[in-house]
Amino acid sequence: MAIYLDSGGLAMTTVVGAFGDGVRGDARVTVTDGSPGLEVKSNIEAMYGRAIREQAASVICRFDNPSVHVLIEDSGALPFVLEARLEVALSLHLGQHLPKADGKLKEPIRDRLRRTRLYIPGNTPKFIVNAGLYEADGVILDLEDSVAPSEKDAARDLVRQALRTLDFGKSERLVRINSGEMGQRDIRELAAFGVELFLIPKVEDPSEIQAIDELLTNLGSGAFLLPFLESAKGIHFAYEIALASPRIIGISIGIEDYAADIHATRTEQGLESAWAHGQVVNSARAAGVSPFASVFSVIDDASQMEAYARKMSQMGFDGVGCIHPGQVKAAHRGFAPSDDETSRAQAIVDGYDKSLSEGVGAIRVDGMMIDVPIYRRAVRTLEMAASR
Amino acid sequence: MISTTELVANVAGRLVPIEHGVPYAGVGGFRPKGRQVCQTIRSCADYPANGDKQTAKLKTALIQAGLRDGMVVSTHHHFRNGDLVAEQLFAAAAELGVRDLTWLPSAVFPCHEPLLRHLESGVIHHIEGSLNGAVGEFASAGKMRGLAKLRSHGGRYRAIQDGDIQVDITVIAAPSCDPFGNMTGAFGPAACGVLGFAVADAQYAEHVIAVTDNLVPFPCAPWQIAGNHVDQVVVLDQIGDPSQIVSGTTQVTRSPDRLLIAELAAKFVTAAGILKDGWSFQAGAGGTSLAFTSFVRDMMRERQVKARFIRGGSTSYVVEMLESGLADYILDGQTFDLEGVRSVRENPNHLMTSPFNSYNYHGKGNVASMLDCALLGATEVDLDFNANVVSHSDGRMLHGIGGWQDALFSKCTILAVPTFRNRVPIIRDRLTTFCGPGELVDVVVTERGIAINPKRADLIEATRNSGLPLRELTDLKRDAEALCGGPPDSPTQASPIVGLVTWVDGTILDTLRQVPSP
Repeated sequence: MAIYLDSGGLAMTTVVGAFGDGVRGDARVTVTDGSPGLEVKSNIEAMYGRAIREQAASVICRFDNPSVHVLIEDSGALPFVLEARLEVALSLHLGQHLPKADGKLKEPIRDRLRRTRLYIPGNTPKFIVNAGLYEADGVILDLEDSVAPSEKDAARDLVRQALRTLDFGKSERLVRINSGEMGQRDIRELAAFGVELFLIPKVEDPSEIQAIDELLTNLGSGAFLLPFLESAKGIHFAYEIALASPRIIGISIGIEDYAADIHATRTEQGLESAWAHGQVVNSARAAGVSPFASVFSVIDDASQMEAYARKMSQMGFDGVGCIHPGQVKAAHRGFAPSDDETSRAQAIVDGYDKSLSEGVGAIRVDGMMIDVPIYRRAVRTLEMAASR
Repeated sequence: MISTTELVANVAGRLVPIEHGVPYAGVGGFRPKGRQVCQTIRSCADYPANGDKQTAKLKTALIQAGLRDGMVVSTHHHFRNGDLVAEQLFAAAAELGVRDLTWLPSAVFPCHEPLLRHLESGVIHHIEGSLNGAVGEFASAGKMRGLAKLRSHGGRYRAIQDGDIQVDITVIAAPSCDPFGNMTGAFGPAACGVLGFAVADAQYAEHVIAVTDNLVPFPCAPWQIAGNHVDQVVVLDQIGDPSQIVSGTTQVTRSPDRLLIAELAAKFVTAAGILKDGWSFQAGAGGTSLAFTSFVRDMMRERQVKARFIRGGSTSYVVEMLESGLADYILDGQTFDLEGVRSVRENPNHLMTSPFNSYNYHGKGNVASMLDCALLGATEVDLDFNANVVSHSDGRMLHGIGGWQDALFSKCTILAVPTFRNRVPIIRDRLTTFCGPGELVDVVVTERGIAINPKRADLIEATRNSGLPLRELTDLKRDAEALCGGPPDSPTQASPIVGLVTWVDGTILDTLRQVPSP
């Protein structure tokens, strides 16, 4: 996104989106002061040129048909993408708020599998559209590290339109916000669009979480929170942060920034972060929430991903980050329980179901009393086993 | 180009110009009578008794072959994007002042873009072959004087064999050749693998010129094409760049969506019981095909299942399967990388084939229909499982038919396609260009689910409880259109016809219309 004056310093031009070599499924919208008009250049003109013009006219109308020239350079942008690019370009150019959009709150589920969270760059449409197809436990529409500072507004509205439009399947709908005031704005503009879990980066103090909790409450959102601890201070206060809000479902270590903050060098063995990993697991468990591990950077070797996930699982983590859809199933295999664990879980579930159907009050399996939490854990074990 | 007033509807409901051939009559619906084309009787008295057919220059060979205006000349694509022969052929023809040639390549690649100047100057009148890239744009824009007649690999063999088109002069690039004309692609500094696409031309062309950069003493053994077919042998500095047989697509896709499609397809053939000991499949060189091959390789290994044969383009992936004992044979019609070249040279179970063996519909059977499974792509699929592979949805020529139509005859033909590309939905009410009948398409695998042709009740039953995302084609279409903003507008059918799509039996399936230049 860019806003600049022309050489004469009179007419202003605003550019949002991407177009050119290697770009697919996006559109670049250029708004210029001057004679009103709409110009469309599209490689799918014969199929969707008419639809693009109709959609553009509709968006421009919502801004009260300003006296601007709008150029759309399209490389197959889906309507939700085009909507976002047009809205942001016009709102920035005209200094107006984005048009209101219908939102839909989604009641999040606290107790669910979160083995994998798949990061999707928030300003890259081609990665967003099918994000729900890869069976990740959660899809993160990322507004933070994967988005350049100049693209933050464009990304936020693209994510807004994606949340409005797309079906993410069984994946939990996550948004990683920016730090500080920009993060508050991210939440204000997105909370109404079915976000189930906000990822809060670089948290160092419980008060940061409390402020976000209050904001969500004011917005009527029931979204959960997952703070990321990415500094020595954040890791140090892991327990306090984990207890900062009832919305918190877990805490996660952000390993790259943490290693830099403690002046360590990343190693294959990971000795430099061993304590931090333990601190996160222990603090999370002590606070009654889930510990989550960082992402794994090798994207073309499923066996390495599976080994990483298994190692994190053995350390006590409940999930890992994925930066490529191809990592998801490998990570699920890494979190899959052993045959013995699976057999025992199956026995618990079978015994519990049988006892319930027979109206037996106290339920025992292999001599052990089975209560609801044990039953639920067994069900989850079987779910994880199914991904082997 | 031709006007649109001389058209009749074929059985697919497509309007086709009757004066250019028999309208498509359905699968197996056209049974021509008569005899195949006959060779002119030749006499050894007209050829050197010592077997040395060398001519110093290509230009001289062309003069001796009687090259003149209006002739049909052919070349082949076993060097794929590294072909250096077509350029030398037409440069020589231009120097000789010859015009209005029909070029019958087995395929066109980006390396042939410089030949546009010969189309523009009139040396080449038109191309009969699948067009793409800049040459496709040229033809789609209505700039080519004759019709682009698109044929599959098997259809090209059949057309030459049946006499639909008479090749006057063929120039065959031979990575190794002896003075008699015995040739192979397995050896030599420019070894490129199989020469199968040139077999029909060698058998039926009026005049056969072998060009080589590696002349070896007689005999060039083992040869794929016998010198008894050859009129002249010309030594050139270069005939092709074998490094260019590896196209950008000859590696497993890294696209998450295409990987997902390939994985679903592999799971499907496993769940349907197709992947079993002794099975066979068609292996392509596109990213999704290679990913499919990788997935089935892993599944075969896990289940300790071996394929009897793998047909298709050979790549390092299928070579590795052959060498690790996961397949008994590769039936190679086109070598896609240098590992394939090495294997075809070294491994007696890596067999050189031609479209005659694999695809020719007017023969006594072929390999394609024996395949247990073929995974293919498509640019469009309609709700009756009919499909398009040659044009964009705006009608622009996109790529060749290749072996696509021929491989549709496999026992389980799977179209592996995304539900939309670049906003354009793949599943349509009506195809822009009709290339393959839906009765031969058994399954459509997309990233959003798998649709089985209702005619294949056996596959539906076999996979009912597989846990795979089985869906109706209409549902997949609806999902794509919901994302894409409704169905796309269709291109106009009023513009002049610039190309014809033929079926494997030579009948006319559909037309391609002129489209505006981009």
